[in-house]
Amino acid sequence: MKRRKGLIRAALFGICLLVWLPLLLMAAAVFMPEDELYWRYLSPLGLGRDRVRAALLPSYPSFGALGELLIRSPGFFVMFWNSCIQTLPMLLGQLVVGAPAAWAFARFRFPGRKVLFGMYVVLMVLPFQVTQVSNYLVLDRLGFLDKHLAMIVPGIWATLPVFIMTRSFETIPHVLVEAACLDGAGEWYGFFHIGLPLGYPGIVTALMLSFVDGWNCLEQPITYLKDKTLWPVALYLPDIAKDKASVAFGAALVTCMLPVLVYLNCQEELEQGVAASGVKQ
Amino acid sequence: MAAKRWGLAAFFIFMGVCTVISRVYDSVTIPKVQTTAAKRKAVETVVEGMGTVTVKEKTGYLAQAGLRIGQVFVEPGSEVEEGEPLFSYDGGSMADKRDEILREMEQLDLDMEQERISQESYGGMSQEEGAQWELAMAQRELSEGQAEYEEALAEHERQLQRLKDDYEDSLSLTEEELWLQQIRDWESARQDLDSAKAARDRELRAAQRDVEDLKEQIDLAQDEETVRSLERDLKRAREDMEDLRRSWETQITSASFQLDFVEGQEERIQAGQTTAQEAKKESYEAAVKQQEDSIKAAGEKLADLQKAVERTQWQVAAARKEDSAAAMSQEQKKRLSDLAVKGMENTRKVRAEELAHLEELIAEGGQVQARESGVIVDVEVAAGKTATGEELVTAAVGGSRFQGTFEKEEQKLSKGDTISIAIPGTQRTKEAVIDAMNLLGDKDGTFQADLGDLEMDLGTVTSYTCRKQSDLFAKVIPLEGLRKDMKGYYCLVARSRSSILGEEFRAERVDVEVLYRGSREAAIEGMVLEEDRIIIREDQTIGEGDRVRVMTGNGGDNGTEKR
Repeated sequence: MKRRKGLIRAALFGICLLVWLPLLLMAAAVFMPEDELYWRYLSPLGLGRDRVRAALLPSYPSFGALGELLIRSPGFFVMFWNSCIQTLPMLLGQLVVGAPAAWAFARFRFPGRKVLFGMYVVLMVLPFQVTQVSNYLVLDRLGFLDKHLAMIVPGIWATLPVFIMTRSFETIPHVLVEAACLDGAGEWYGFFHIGLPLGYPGIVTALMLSFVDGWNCLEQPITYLKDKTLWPVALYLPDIAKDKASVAFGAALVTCMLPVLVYLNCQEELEQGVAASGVKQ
Repeated sequence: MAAKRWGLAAFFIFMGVCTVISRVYDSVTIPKVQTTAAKRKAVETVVEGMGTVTVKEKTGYLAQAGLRIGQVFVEPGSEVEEGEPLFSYDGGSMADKRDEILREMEQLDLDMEQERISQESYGGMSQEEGAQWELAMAQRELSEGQAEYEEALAEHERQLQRLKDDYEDSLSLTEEELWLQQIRDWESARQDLDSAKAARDRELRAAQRDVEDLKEQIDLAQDEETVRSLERDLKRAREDMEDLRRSWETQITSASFQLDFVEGQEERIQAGQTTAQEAKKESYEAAVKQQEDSIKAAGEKLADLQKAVERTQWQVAAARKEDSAAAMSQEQKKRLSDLAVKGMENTRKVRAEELAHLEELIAEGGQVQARESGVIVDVEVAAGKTATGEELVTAAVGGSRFQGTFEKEEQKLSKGDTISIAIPGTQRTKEAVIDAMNLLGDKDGTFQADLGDLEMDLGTVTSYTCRKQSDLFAKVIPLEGLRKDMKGYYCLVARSRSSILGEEFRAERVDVEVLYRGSREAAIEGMVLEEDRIIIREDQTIGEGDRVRVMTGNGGDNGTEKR
């Protein structure tokens, strides 16, 4: 029995390594000098047809690429902070707007509730390209184009967080809220003191997924932001030149560090929230 | 959990710190440039350089060769008036020089006379005349020879007839009568031999005397032509003597042979080996043979005389040619002599002029005087030294000129340009017009400008400036903005573009063609726009595509700092 478990673990570990392999190769490439990088990845960089010589350890480790990125690339930090400026207010807005909406969908029964929630689901599954033009027109009318608000405002009214938080609030027993109401508590009291604490994993999950979505978005900034000074960090990699391949690898590593750190901070709540959504469904 | 939150916070702090550092680093390292725009204007060329004040015109007083300088009255910088003494010669050296010139002239007169005498020629016998005389002689000898030959031939016939008659008569004689006749023949042969030897010695002595006489005449003769003629006569005399000896040798041999023959016959008759009759027959046959040999020899002698006539005729032709060549040589000698005489006449004329000049100088006390007023600029004569004929006292006359130098490669100056010449010790300048250019120097060219009546010391070194305006050009930029590499001239233009960091400037290369190059600006043609910021100054080396920071500063026309 133990031997069987061991084999299973080994197989899973192997699969995990397979998943992690691109990230490990990327991390190794960050510490490679330019000449070694070109020698190993000539073909993927579009500079020749030589075979790829992938390695998990560089032959001649170098911090040159990281130094180039962190010291001599001020543009990268502009984009990093742009991403922060656009993502964090969006998450705050989703919390302010989406959480009450999700509480309403979970708590109240009113005519047209199912239709309205169904429209939320439909909007959630629609690809960005479908709503791109209408969103552009609205943002133009509001005067938000070429501003951070063009990225923040549409994100605040995103439907996925509402959907996830609704599912999370629905797991809270109705009797618990009704008992509080009998004791004289209002709806807002119940929302803040019962809904938010008990639905915390779902809220964190929704915000976590929204953060990853906002952090990695590509089409929205390209469409709404003509001013390059407002571009998020996700657009840094396509903008970088081929002659700075090692810097590109370093930028990719640093870019993915924040989502990883956020995930590590919210790992427990994320698992609970996803599990809660799954149980309800 | 707390560690994870600290990790997140540390990440943000790290990114914040790196943001600040990268911006600071960027602001420090980005090249700062100053720019300007191309303007429509004329290009000004300012040529500056140095020059020297020189004399406008010089006049030189050459010291006469061979005369010793007595006194020098001037020195460089002295002002002299017309007629003022410059230097004087020593009286003794002038007298010596005069005597020397007189001697030379006398010698020249003698030489000329000698040349004239050498041209004189006197008539004599030419080679052709000599040869003609020889030919006449040979022809006369041939005529005589022919007569002799005919006589000999007649004599031969007579002798043959006589011998035949004698022999036929002897057939009727007795042995004793034949023996007596044999003895008479022997006696006759002996007498013939003796008389031939005596005649030979006599004639050879006479010929030898002729040869000796000619030798003495040759030794005494002085004229080359006479010597040649006598040598020719000597040669002929020797030949005649040799011929005579051979002739007499033949005759003596023949007489001796005849005597031996008769003696042999007598001995054989006495020994009984033959009879007198047989001996008579032998004698008859031998005499006939001798007669035939004799006539044959006479024929050969006649043939020799004919050959001699032919040879002499050829010698006449050769002598004619030699006479012609000699005449031409004589003419050539005469012409050369004429030329030598003319040369000597010219030399004598020069010496005569020198003598006249020297006489004038002596009359003036040996002083050399200034022909016109001026300033002495150079004195090469020195008191007590004998002049070699190259020493000069140079005086400047007729004002001063400015001689400036300029870089020939630039070629910015031209004839007719106006220059400003700084007057040393003052703030004033003097305008002058370039009236002569010299571009023959290796690196620098020179020009000259008339200073008119400006009073500046000769040799003064001062600066000049020349400002020239070109035609109007559409795009004129400072020279600092004009760059050059292997591909040619180009400008770096700071052109803005939108970037992550906002509007930033990048240096872009624009190839241009230089239409006119001034001292500070250049007119160009190329894809440079009016609004383009042409980089004219940078704090570090920049290249095509580099980010730059446009600064406000001297020479730039940008009011604010931009990056």
